[in-house]
Amino acid sequence: MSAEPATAAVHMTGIWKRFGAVQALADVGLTADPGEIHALVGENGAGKTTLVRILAGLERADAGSVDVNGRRLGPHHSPKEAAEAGVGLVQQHCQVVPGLAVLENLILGHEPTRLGLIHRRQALASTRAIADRLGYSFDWYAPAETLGLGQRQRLEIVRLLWRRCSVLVLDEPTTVLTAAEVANLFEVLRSLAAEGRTVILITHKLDEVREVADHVTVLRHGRTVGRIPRQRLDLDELARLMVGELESPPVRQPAALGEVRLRLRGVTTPAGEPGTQALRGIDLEVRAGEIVGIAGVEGNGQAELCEVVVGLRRPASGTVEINGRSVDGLGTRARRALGLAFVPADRMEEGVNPLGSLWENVAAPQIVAGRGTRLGILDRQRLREQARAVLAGAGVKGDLDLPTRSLSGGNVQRLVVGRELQQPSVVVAAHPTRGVDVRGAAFVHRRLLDLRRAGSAILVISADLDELSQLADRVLVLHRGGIVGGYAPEDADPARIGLLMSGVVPEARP
Amino acid sequence: MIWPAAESSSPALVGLGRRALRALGPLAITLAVGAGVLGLSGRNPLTIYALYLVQAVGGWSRLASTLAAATPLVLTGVGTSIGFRAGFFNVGLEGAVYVGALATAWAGTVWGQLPAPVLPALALLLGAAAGTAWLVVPALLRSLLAIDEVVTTLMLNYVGIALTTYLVLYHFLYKTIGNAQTPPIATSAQLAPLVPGTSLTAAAGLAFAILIGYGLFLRRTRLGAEVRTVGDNPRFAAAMGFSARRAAILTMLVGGALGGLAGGIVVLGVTYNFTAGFSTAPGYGYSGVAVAVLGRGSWVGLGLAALFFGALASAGGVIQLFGNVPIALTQILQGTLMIFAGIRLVQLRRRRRHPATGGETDSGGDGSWR
Repeated sequence: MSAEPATAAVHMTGIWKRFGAVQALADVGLTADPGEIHALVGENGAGKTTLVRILAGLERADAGSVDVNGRRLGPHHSPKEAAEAGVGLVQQHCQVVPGLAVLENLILGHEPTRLGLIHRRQALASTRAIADRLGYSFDWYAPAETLGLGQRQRLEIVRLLWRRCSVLVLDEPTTVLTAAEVANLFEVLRSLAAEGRTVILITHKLDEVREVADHVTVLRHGRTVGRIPRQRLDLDELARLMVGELESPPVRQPAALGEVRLRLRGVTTPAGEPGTQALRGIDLEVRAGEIVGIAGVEGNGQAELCEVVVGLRRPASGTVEINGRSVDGLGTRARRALGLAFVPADRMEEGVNPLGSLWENVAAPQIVAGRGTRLGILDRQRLREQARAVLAGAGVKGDLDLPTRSLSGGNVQRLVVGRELQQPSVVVAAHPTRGVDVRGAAFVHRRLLDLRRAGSAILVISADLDELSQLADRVLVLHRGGIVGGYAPEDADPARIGLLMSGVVPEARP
Repeated sequence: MIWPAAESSSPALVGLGRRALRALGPLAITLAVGAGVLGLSGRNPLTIYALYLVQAVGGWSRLASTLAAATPLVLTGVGTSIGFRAGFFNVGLEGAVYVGALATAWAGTVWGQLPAPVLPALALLLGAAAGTAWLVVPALLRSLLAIDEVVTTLMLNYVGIALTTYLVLYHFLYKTIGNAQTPPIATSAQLAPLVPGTSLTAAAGLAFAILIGYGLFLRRTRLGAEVRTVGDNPRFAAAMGFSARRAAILTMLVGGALGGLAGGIVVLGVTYNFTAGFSTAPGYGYSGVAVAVLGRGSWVGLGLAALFFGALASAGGVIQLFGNVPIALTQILQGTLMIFAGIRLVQLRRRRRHPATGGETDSGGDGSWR
């Protein structure tokens, strides 16, 4: 590869973007040349989608510059300006307007007209020509809502080409496709690149990168950590870049492992529920004084695993034991009474009642268990005093009677951690530091490690491998609802982990 | 950013103002609609509204009438509101009013030899029990099978109205009069008026005590906390181990009991018998829905809303006699308020579907129900 030509199709430099307390992008660059397929890879939350949304004008960067085909787009360009410059974005979930025909959907907002009327014949001729060239066929007058997800994506591609886009951005296009559809998509992308267009493909699947990418940009934690041409592409190195050099784990006291506190045997949940990933025969043991991490790309069964343990989801088969006792017939309240604590992933929906006061949110476990109540009447003074102490210990400042929604996300998490991690026997913590600032994360980690020393059995689910290697005694990788492998943080091989998480079985790689 | 200090120092005040505005908006629009109707028919709205005001609160006996008219509405308002507070839209109090009234009337007639303080108490207890039993089935369907409570409770109202009519006609008819009504209750069952010439009775004290009890229950008890948490955020409630099932059963049955009690109070203090179809236009139970929605869940708001509806009813009855104002105007005002109540109800329902007991999750919503 020569030096970058003066007229890159896309040239983004020094892009910064912050959402609240989270620095989503820090000094990120992306350069893609005409005629290439450029893969943008990274873990969940690495900032890939944010970056292309900025390119497409859907999000405003805090700083940085965006040039498309040698033309500078204003510091805050609109989606329309981006489209006029030739940028088209195929979102992860393509929307169609129901009730309108396929053709009408396609030309919506750009209808060719004659004498003020929509020139249907011309519209059909021009769009059909594009579809034919790509080998797509549509029932042009069928209602658009009858299209499947793969068809909607094809429609979107035709629409963008019809609008003469020269830069096509596809955000994880393959997640909704079957294997055959993926092969077809890649063929189309290659032909588009051969026409001199630029394709930017977001993915976290390494085998896809290997298959189509001419160039790869790797993001991690909102930073560009690599830009690699195809000739130098090495999947192991790519995986390591995506996942990061794992920091050496902190010196944990050698754990005095106790008895098994949490045990799952053959836990399977029913398949086919929309929006959930079925668990497939999960076997898992967590001992007293042990932290077990669950790694994996989100949506591979993490949420369902939590729900099964906490008692919010009933397995189709298999058993869950807490402290050696089967809890299959027990609800959440009874499981908590056995010493289960839960730090949920969705803290505003599951972790707190945003409308309730701070003290009531902290006192909720007491109220549920009937502690701090006399004959059903709340002992408000006692509960408030306890809540005050918990909040102080968690570093949350604020009036006890304030509604909890007035807290920042990081402080909500401190409240949840302070409330849940008091003297639990078994802990389930899902993404306990996501969106939490460095000091908040340190507080959470310290709490978890303290509990480990005190003999709790802890299950930590996280998309952050650094966090897992810092906390966990061993890590299991979850993929498509099953545990596909595991490792000890001491001899973690980032390449192998990345491949496991991507669904590539390590033994089968070339 | 210009007044950050002021903004942060008085969020409570700002919230209070906004809430008051939202609560009073429907009232203001309703009065405007009424004024428009009056203006179109060539009357001066201000004169007529002044007349309403005088008839509602001008003098002890008028005030007593307003309180008397508000009494059953306080009960049905609280009974509906407690379900709303847990996120369950129990609109079945109308049916409970009917079965409770009939049960009370039956006891008041058949147990006539019991002495005065005992008989009304027992008769009202029986009415409340009948109202409770009336909603057992929808409560169980909701909590165990996640069957939509609005449909079941609403439909059951028609069953209740028709069933009580049948029972009166074929089993408890007072044959000396042509009306579909039961024989008069025993004198010892009657609640004596506190102010002569009105139907204000000790039941008003009971109703307002229950209103305050409702406020204390929600704030101060473990079950009240469960009801509020389940209503505010069902997913959090489930993750903590609060029981949405128990909240559903509890609040719907309490609603039935209060509906039955409201019906019984009307029988013992106003009509002295059960008359088929006695709760009409808009009906004590349905008015309770409006009171619950306009009262926005707080016991103070519920009390004010019930008093407003009571004032409208008591003034409207008198005013048509000498104000040259048709009773239809009162019904227009009540109807407009009911429309607002209906809109609000639909909004609330969209926001609060219960995943814990089935149904869709719908996050979002600013929780303005409080």
